[in-house]
Amino acid sequence: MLFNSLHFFIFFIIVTLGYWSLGWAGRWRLLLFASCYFYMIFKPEYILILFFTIVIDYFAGIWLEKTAGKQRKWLLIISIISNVGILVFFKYYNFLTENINHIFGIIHVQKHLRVLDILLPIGLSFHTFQAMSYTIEVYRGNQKAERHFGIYALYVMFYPQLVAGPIERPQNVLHQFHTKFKYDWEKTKSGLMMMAWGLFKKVVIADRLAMVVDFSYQNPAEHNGLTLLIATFFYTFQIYCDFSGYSDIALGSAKVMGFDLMENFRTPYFSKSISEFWRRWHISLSTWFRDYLYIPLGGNRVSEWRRYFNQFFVFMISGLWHGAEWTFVIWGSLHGFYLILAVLRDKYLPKLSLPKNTLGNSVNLITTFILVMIAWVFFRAKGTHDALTILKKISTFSFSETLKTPLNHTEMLFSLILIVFLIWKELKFFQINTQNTIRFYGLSLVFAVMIYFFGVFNTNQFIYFQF
Amino acid sequence: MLIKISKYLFLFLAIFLWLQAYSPWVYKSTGLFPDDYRYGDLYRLSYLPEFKAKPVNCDSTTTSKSDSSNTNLYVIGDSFTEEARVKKSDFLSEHYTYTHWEKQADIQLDTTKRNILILETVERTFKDHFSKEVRNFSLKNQPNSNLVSASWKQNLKNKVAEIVLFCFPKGIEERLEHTLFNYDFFLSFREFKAHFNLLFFNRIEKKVMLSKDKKNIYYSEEADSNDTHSAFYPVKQAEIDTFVSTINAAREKYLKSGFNEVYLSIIPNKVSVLSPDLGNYNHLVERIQLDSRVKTPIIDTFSDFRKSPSSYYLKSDTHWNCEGRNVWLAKINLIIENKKVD
Repeated sequence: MLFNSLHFFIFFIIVTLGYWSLGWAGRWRLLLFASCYFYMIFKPEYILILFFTIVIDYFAGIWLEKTAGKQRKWLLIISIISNVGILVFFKYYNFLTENINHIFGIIHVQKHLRVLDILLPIGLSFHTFQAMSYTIEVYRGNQKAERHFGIYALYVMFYPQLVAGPIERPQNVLHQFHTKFKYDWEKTKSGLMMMAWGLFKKVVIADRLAMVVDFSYQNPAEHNGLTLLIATFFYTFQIYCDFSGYSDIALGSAKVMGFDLMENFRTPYFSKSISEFWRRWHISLSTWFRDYLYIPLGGNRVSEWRRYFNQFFVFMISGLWHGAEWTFVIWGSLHGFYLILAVLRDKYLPKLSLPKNTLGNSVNLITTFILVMIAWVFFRAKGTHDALTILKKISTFSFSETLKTPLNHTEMLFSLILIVFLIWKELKFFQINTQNTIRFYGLSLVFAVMIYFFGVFNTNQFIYFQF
Repeated sequence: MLIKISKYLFLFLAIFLWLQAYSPWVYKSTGLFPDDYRYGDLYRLSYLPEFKAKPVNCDSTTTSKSDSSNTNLYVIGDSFTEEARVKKSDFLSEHYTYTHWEKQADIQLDTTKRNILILETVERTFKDHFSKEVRNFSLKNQPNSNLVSASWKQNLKNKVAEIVLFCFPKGIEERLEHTLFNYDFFLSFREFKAHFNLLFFNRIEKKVMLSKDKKNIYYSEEADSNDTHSAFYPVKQAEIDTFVSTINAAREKYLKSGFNEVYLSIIPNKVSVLSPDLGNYNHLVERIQLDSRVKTPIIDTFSDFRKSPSSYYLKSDTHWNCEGRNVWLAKINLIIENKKVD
């Protein structure tokens, strides 16, 4: 079910009002049932995969707690292998097969591995990582094993964050499912406002910018540098509004029911370095990789060059997590490369580092933005060839070129105004204050009118659903 | 107390809305919601107020069943000939059987009568229908080579798919949209938005397109040159060859099955008649109708419609108006009466 659909609107009203009409036992049952329905609307049969993961990790958690010594490690490994195994099979099997076949072709081996006709279950990477964080935390002793199967299932399946995060930690949410929250009007207002803002970002900004991006990226060879530059600039904001919009709706809908989920975005385009960008962008994923991959690899306690390798490796894997395409691997690797380059610059060429004054900060901010934008080209392009074509054309663009877009001048101008409005809003009012009820109603009305009249409703999926 | 009552009221209202959208049966049976096609199918997609018109009910074209009682008419057709537009009483034949291209029907011919079959298709779906064998009518008491009994595995798979579809039906979003925003009061908001988008952003709903002078509206499927169904999408000669052989094969098959006559009728797209200059027209209708290899007699409406383009289509709809329909019906009734068709 898409957050930007009427179906979700009705679903949300029923689930939320039903939730507040029931006792604790009724609430978790309703949420679990609603989450199953929410997931099964996409493709019902894939609930079986989710159920399989839940059962494995539920029992793994209990056994991990009961067991001591080497056996614990084995239990954790089995649990991780089963989770990663599902992920690899559905997400990476065809990617691996195609690459192996390609290598076979190069070395003239006649063998040809079969490519399977499989569809990626929606949000698989998200709920697999969330499930893995549970068993790892139980193994580390930071989290008690959950004995209540329904509550554990809800931890993996909680509908607001089931298909596109935030990727939660058991310490943050499991106890909340055991709590019978008291209704809080302030939380409701705040949650609803988050949802409205998220929906605005998705349907008014992201889906409008998407028209330009899709048009230009469909066949980049046909377009000039200026068109591709504008499209890439728009995509930088499209993906932010799309994904952070989803996260806002997720956090808001959970908040209305009393739950506090972890923050996923903190104005990432105001970052003054790549490392800062990753502390502000998709926070739940970057901290997941930090806690469960980077630190186990040695973190900062290893030799300098090993640390660089670890950082690069983590970013490369993070790219691969997004999709089974070389473009995603390059995107992740580019970020790793940026990060290492910045560290090396600070160490060996400290004079190149800019002073921390307004001018220095502005240059750093713009440089970071441009570097992130360049990397997005790989993220969005249909393949490495397209990405390189786009970058080549952008690098030689001139203002004398004619801009080709499916939007007319008025709508292009309107799109730019929306981007400026977004930047202004994020800078001045990161959180919208809803304490004043009249202000809340007024703003809700404004958002409703804006979303209805300026929203682009083409039932566009959220970009991150595919991961 | 008031809050509690409001809470339950909203809850029950939301449940009702969900239930009627979830179940196509409840949606149809409540009868609470206005017909979303009432102002035309193109208006339903665009909500442009300038293309809002109530389609009128056409009068029956026949007054008496003259000498035709000896004729049974069968039509494999599309939305142009479905019951809302063409009824049994419009034909001079005694007996009339209609089946949609998407359906299959078992029929038994009365061999004591003259049996006529019309293969009617609108231009934009012509390719879909004649790129593969026509098998919509199966004649009873005759061996049907197409029917192979399915294996238990296939049956089980079909049953599971049926259950899944029942539990998670398609079209929930569309039904909800029509339920919530289809009353005349809400239509004014939709019209305002559509008009605003056209005026300032020069943008309309993707599924429709406007003519160059913005006076006519078309279904994108027939007018967008990127769409394979479009009148402006190139048709290769090899494709024409396939269509011709399929048409002839259909004729032979049904003549062998007992039909006395088989006819082909291609209803031109609205855009092909009103705005053939909107792109590079592929002339599909003419290329089929004038192909000497086609053995099946043609019921030609294209030439009539082209003579007076603005007379035969509804402003708010993809379909023909009463005049367009009557041109077609007149030709069919001439065939039924065994008279010469122009």
